[in-house]
Order: sequence, then structure tokens, then C-alpha cells
Amino acid sequence: MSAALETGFANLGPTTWTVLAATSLFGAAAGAVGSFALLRRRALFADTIGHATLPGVVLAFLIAAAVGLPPRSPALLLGGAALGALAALALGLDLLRRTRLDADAVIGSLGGAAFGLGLVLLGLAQSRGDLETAGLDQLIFGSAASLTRDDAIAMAALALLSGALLVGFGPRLTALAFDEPFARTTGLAPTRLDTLLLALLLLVTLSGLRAVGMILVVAMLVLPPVAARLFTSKLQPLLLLATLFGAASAAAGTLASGLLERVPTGPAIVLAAAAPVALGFLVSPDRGLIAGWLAERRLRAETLERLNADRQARALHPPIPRPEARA
Amino acid sequence: MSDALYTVLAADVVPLLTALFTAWTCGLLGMFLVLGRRGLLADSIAHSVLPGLALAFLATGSRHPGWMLLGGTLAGACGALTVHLLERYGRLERSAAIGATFPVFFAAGLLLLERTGGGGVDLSPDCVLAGELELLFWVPPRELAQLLEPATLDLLPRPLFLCALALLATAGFLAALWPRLTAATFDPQFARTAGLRPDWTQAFFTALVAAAAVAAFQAVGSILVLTLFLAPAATARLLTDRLGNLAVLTLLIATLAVCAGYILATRGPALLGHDLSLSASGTIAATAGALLLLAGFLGPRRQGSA
Repeated sequence: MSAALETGFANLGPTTWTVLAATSLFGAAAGAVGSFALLRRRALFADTIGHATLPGVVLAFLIAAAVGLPPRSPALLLGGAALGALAALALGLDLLRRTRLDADAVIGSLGGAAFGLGLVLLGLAQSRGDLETAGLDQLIFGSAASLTRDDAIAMAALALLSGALLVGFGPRLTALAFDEPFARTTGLAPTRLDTLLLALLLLVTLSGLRAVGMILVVAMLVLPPVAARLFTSKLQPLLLLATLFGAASAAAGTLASGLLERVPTGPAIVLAAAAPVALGFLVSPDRGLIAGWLAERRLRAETLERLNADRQARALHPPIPRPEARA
Repeated sequence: MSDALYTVLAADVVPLLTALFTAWTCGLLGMFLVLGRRGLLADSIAHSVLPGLALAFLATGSRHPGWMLLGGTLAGACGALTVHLLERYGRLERSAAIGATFPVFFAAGLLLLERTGGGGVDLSPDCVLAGELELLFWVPPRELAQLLEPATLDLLPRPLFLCALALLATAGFLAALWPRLTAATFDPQFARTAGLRPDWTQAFFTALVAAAAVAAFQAVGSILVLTLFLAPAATARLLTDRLGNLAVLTLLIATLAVCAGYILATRGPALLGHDLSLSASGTIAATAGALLLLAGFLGPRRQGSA
């Protein structure tokens, strides 16, 4: 270990360890919740949720400042973030139900529009020089370094809450993800369970807001489950691996950003989470890039051989040349 | 020339034109993204161009638009290719493949910017999100007669030319590829049997989206680029069932969103007696979203297949 890293570790105070524990818990919760979102094809709703927290946060800040409450309290900002995301989700789901637009168009448009509104409000808040707005923009890209003990505890509480809900509702969500008709006939309400899944996504997003930031938080709900999916096709190992990948990458990213100069936390965590995906995609035997390419080649060669054997049997000469020879 | 006119020329004309050119470019391309149900491809491309911009700056040490365009387009194409490979060989569902790609590219870009200083304000994280629309001012001549002389036009900010070029190129390519693109979008099977090479058409179209995103990126920011790709086209989709009408309506709605948003940002606070201006990128994006919601509740063609 280099000298710089050693002094870095020495500089990590007790708060840092709390923060590290909190981000790891967030990563674990994101991996687990993200697995169900991936199976139910709801992963990108987290993108809208993340973007739409900005107007809520800034509005909560402005209102609190106007009525004389402490505008920077974590509970207030998280509450605002939740309301903003809920409003966008409600509008988006309504638009999806009411119109023929697909989820892609709705998610992209509303996420961008909500974030634009948030930027306008943020500018408004910043232009009022009497308000202490520093730190609001840290929610956009995330910064674990600025987390206080209270922030870390709020983060951990949200992550634990979503974990507990997941343990309680896991079997039902599994039934819904794999066999919706079955879930319906056994008396489960798919609409309500989907709402629960979105609520879980919201909880995890809120938990990661301060550390990863609202733009990149979607990555922590997608990358760990995708990595796990590349390594296994069974549900239990998938959940376990995704939780593990999420926690490990969140911890690694937080540490890297604490120890190294000029490494922002959010991007560091996301890049750490991308590493197992990249590895899995290269080497996975049934979903890997190399294996897939080889399998395609083999299939092409086999098909050609079979075709030519058939032509020969029916005395249709000459055989079709291999593509390489044709060129 | 009166003072009022001079102020408008100096402060408003260039940002407004830049935003309009961007909105038209993105709207025309976004139409086919919405029709093909591939809207979030724009999301992944708009975010993927960032590391390309940063690397191009690192490699050449200049922020010349040519290098930016090259680096950004290559990175955007890499992003789209990654999504394609993850779908094809990783057998991931498309939204998962997109979600696993664009935040990673964006994170890599942010990290590169942070590590290198990014070459000043133009590539700072804030600017990446909201663009620099407000910074595009111009020093017009005092006399109207000098307005179109080469010397004064030379003073116009470069992003305006880049966005105008992107618009011209997009319009030209779309006009040339219209039959192929409609075939590839509405009926890929037919396009294949008719020998229209839909895969190549789509790949070329994707590159066009990436180039448009880069051209628009520095002027209006990644958030507005994404919104302009999807919101006006989606809004128009709720108003009509004809492709030609869709194009016209998309352009009209994009124009409305840009003009209303821009006026709201620059003149709105003054009307309420405040002396400040809002982020024009933000108000335009929010206006485009509001128009979409309005069409979602009132549009005459809300139902049916996409």
C-alpha cells in the first residue's frame, strides 16, 4: 500500500466508518430490490424517480426557508424528494395507462422535464443570496464526504426498511415476476404489488441520494442485478450475488473517493459496480460476449454443413461455399 | 437602431436560435425513436457522449468542435453498441441493457472531467447538465445595414453554427433516407425482404442521433437534449396518426416549447417584479413536459398502438 493510501486510512475518522457502513447497506438494499425490478422489467423507473427528486428537494427547501423551519434537515429534504418522485411517478403511470405512449418515451420525457423544473427552482434558490443553498447541488452528483452522522443514519434506516419489506414480500414479488397469471389466481393483487415494488425503488433511491446522487442512483439498482444475472440463472443465488455486488461496490467506491484526491463518490461507486458486469459479460459461459460469439459461429458452420449434406444427398451440386471463401 | 432592439439582438437572438435549431434536430430524430419505441436509446446516447468529449479534450488539448464531434459521436456509438451487445449476447431485456450502460458511461465522463479539470467552465459538471445557453451572447453592429456583413457574422458564437449544421445535416439525411427509415421503423421484415438493409439504416440513424446529441450537448446540456428528443415527438404522437402531420406537429410543438420556455426564463421573473433570470434549459424542458401532459389529458389520438 502506498504512503498516500496509508495516511488516507489514518484520516478516516469514526464518521467515515459510519458512512461506509451506511453506503454498504444502501448498496446491498439496491442490489436486492433491483433484482426484483429487473425481473419485473421496472428497472428504469428508478431513472425517473431519481431525476424527479430534484424539484421536490428544492421546493421543500424553499418552503421550509419561507416558513422558518431549518431548511437543511435530512428528514425535510428526503420528504420533499419523496413527494417530487411520487408526483412524477403518478403522472407517468397515468400517462402510460391513458395513452398509447410506451414506457421509454414517458420515462425519458418526464424525467428530463422534472429535472429541468428542479434546475429552475435550484437557480431560484441560489439567486436568493440570503439562503444557505450550498449542498443542495451535491444531491445531483452525490458526495459521501459531506455526509454527517445523521445523514448516514437516515440512509441506513431507509435501506434497512426496504430490506425488511423485501423479506416480507419477496415470495409474492417472485410469483408476480415469474408468473403473473398464477399470482393473480392465487389471490395476489398485481397492481398493488407493482406499487409496492415502485415504493421499494423509491426508498432505495432516497437512501442513495446523498451518496451516489440522483442521476447515477439508477445504476445501483441495475448494475448489481445484471452482474448477478450474468453469473447465475437461479433466483436465490441471484439475490445473494446482487446484494453482495451492491454492498461491495458501494463500499469500494466510498473508500476510493475517501482515499484518493478528486474522485467524486457517485461516479466511483458506479464504476466499481460496473466492474463485475464487465467481467461477467466477458467470461460468462451462457451469456458472455466470447461464448456467445463462438456459439454463433459454430451454429453458422453447422447449419452450412447440414445444408450442404442435404444438397449432396439430393445431388444438387455444387455446395454453398463458406462465407470466407466467397469473399 | 433602438436600444430595445439592440438588447434583444445581443442577448436573446443567439440563445433562442440555438435552442430552436437543437429542438428541431432532436424533434425530427426523436419522431422515429418514439415510433420505433426506442426512446431510451436517446437517453443512453445523450449520456454516453460525455466521456468521448472529455477524452477528445484530453487527447488533443483543444476544445475545437471538430474533435468534440468526433470524440462524442464515437463514444455515443460505443454506448449504443454496448447496449446492442448486452441485449444480443447477454440476453438482457433492453431497458436493463440501457440501464447498465448509460450511467456507467456518464460516471466515467464525470470522473474524467473531475480528474482533468475539464478545460474550464464549458465542461464542468453543471454545464454538462444545464448547458451554456445563457452565455451565448453576441455583439451585433450598431447599424442595421451592417447586420449581414461577414465581419459581424463572424462574431456569432460557434455553438450556433454547430447546431445549424446539425439541423441541416439531419434534415438532409432524413430527406434522403425517408423511405428506408420509414420502412425500417414500421416494418423491418418488409424492409429486409425488399433489400432496404434496415440494420444498416438503423445503425446510421443511431450515429446521426449521437452526432446531434454532441452538437446540442454543449449548448443546451444533457437534460434538455434528452427531453427535446422525446417530449415534442411524444406530444405530437398523441395528436395525429399520419407521419407527415407528425413531423409538422413535432416541429411546431418543439418551437412552442422553446419560445415559451425561453420567454418564461428571461422575462417571467421581471413580470413578477423580481430582478433575476431562470435557467432557460430548465424552463424549456419543463415546458416541453407540461405540453406532453396536456396532450396526454386532452389529445385527440391518445389511444391505439404506438
